[in-house]
This record gives sequence, structure tokens and C-alpha cells, in this order.
Amino acid sequence: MYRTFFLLLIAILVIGGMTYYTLRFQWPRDRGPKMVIADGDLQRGRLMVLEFGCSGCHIVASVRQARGRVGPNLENIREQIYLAGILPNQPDNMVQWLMNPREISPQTAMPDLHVSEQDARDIGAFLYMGSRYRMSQAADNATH
Amino acid sequence: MSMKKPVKKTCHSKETGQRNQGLLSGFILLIATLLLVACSVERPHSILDPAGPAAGHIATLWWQMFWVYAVVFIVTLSLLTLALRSRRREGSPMGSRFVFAAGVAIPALILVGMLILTLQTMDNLQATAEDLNVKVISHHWWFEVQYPEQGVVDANEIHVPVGSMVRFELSAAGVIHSFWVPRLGGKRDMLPDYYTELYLQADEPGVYHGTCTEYCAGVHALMGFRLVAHEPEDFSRWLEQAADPPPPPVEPQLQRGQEVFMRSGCAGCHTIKDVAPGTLGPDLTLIGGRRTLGAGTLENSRGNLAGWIANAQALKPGNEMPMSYLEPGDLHALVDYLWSLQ
Repeated sequence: MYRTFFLLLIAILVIGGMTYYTLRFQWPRDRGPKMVIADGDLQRGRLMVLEFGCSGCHIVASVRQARGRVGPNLENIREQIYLAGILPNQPDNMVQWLMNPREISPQTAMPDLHVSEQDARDIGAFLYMGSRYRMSQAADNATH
Repeated sequence: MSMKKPVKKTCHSKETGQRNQGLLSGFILLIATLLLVACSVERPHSILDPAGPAAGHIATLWWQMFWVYAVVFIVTLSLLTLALRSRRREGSPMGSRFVFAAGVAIPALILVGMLILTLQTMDNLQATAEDLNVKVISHHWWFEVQYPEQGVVDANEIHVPVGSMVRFELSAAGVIHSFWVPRLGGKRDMLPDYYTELYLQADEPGVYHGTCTEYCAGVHALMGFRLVAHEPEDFSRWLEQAADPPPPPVEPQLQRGQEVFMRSGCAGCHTIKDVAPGTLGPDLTLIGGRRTLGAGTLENSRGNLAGWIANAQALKPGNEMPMSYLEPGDLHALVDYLWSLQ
């Protein structure tokens, strides 16, 4: 009787410990910094990604049609340290880059697409959300 | 024995009652969902939203079939329910005459009636006189469009005037494709070495989706086109503009773009009127004004155009256009030049 109890206890401890370790240290989670463009409209940003044709060159999270393989994959752009290899990755720099890439980096292959500041803020906010966009939309729908 | 039977029966009917209620609410839910979907979704491809006489005939036939077969379906299922729920008898209550009438004679009559309606519809689809001739030749995953009388060549976009009967002469370079504009009419196969005809008319101005509807291997799913119906005066203006070759570029950026086009191999496959003679790929004389890129694959915008030129393989895998490794400056100039060809 004691023996069974003892074995059970050990089993629970071992399995519980492994579960804790996995969830605490090995489970994939959001490690990137929080990049927020507060007044960016995520839904509009998503539409702009298609309208300006960002999707022609980049892979973008939560945009099925965005499967371009010309420029970098933007799914985890939030975790990157530099933008286009030259600008520190900060929301203001992101907005500036989207508006005039060739002014900032004359050698870049990314075209100037006459993106307005508001469009750039919306696109930037959406890009920084990455794959969390779906979750945020689901939460949004739940509260409405 | 006589005690048991009624008890069993009430129990049974209660159960079926509950099941029927479940079925009924499921059915109502299904209908409500279908209605909601039908109301909220844009339907650029729907044959139930006809925009021309041919599609109108086809939609009418579709609804006739829908209602007749809906009645048949409901009657059949009602009989089945009745058969399952009624008690067992030694002999058939209705006799073999009923089985012959409902099982053979009535279906045969309905099918003959439907055949007559179908033949009538097919007859209505044929026109004899046309106002405009358009030749469409399908290639490996794009459509070449020619206006032989006006000397205009375009690709993946067909412009027609509203209210005019257009005769399409269809053929294929290579394998069999099929030409379909769901909101304007029926499908017609496009065969190699043998042309087929299709008469279509658009009643309202607008952009209609068209597609290849015969599996042609590879990226068949991304082989589409747009049919743009203009008011007659807009159409003649478009035709005049399209017949003129594009003016030689003046700005240095556009001149550089044209030079890149000639030097980097684009000219080997693509035609630009009076500039380059290639015939393997779509004619680009009017590329800047087109609505889509890659035969309906992408919306045409400067960003998408740049992405398509640089690596079309990622966007439409297996199409015949190779990846290009242009200098970024050359790419920008080429995009600006092509964008100026409207």
C-alpha cells in the first residue's frame, strides 16, 4: 500500500517536473520586444499591404497572398535589430522607411511607392503585430 | 404482449419527435447560413448574377432545374420517411402501378422536359451577327487577346463595348484550355489548331472575372483574365489609344528603363509595339494600364510589378518567366518605364 503510494508520488513529481520545465523554459513564446505604433489601424494596414503590393516581394504574417521571395521575410520583423540593414528597428524608423526607402538607402531595391504617413503607420503597426494579428483580431471580435 | 406493445410505441414516437426537432433546427440553421453567405459575399464569378443575355438564359435554366429537382427531392424523401415510419404490412399498400409511375414514368417525363429546356437554351446562346471580333489564344498560363480588325494586341484583359454582341474566336497554343466568363455566358474549349466560337454580350459596364476552366497542368489555378465592359464611347477611345504605339520615352529614368528592357533579356520574350518583337510572353504595350499581373494572379500596382519582375516564380510557381537578378537601380527604372506604358 505504502509502496504504491510512494511510486505514485514519484511518478507525479517526475511528470509534473518535466511539464513545468517544458512550459517554463522550452515552450516557444513571444520573446521579441513590444513594438507598437499606437495610432496604426491594423485592419487597414493589412489591406494596404495588398494594395501597395508589399505582398509581391515579401512574406507577411496573416496575409495569405503575400508569398513574395524578393525582399526579406517580414513575419518576425519585430524581433530584428536593424531595418534594411541600416536603420535601428524602431517604430519611427519603420514609418520613415516605408515612406521613402530609396532616400534612406539609395542602393535598395525597394521602390518608393508614395506611401502617405498614415498609410505607413497602419502598415508598420500591422507588420509589427506579425502572427499575433490573428489573436488580436479574435480578442477584438470577442469584446465587440 | 398486448400490454407491452403500446408502451414501446409511445417511447419510440417520443424519440423520433426529438430527433425530428433536432433535424428541423439543423435545417433552419443551414438555410440561414446559406442566405447570410449569399448576401454578404461579393460574387465576381457567380452564374446566378448574370450580366448578359447568354448568362441570363443559363441562369434561368439553372433555376428551372433547381425548383423541379427540389420538388422531386422533397417528394422522394417524404415517401422514404413515410416508408420507414409506417408499420409493416404483408402486401404493398400502393401496388406496383405506383412504383412504375413514380419510379419510371414521371422521372422519364421530367428528364425529357429538362432536355427540351436545355436544347432551347443552347439554341438561344447562338448568335449570328456580331459587332466586334476578338481573337483569344491561350498559352501556357495566360491569354493573348487580338482585335484583328483594329490591329490591337493585348493580354489577359479583354475590353468590349457594353450592349454589343462580341464574337470570340478561340484557339490554343499547346494544350486544351477553356474560356469562361461566368457572369456573361457559358464555357467554350480552346483547342490547338482548330478554332471555336463563342458569342458574348455585356449589358452593364464593369469588370468581369474570366478564367481557364479546363485543367491545363501546372499553374492552371492562376490562369485568369479580366473582361472590361466600357460605354461605347469609352471603348472607342480606349481602342484609339491602344492602336497607337507608345511614344518614345523622354525622361532619363524612363529611357534607362527601356534600355534595361532591351538589354536584360525581357525583349526576347515580350512585345512592346515598335520597341521589341518577342512573342513567347504576353504583349506589354499596355501593361501599365492593366488591372492584374500574371494573368489575374495579382492586382497590378507598382509594388507588385517590381516583385513580379524580380521573382515571378514565387508568385506563380512554374510559369515561364524566369527570375531576374537586376541591379536595384535598373529594376526601379524598368518598373517606372513599364508603368508608363498605359
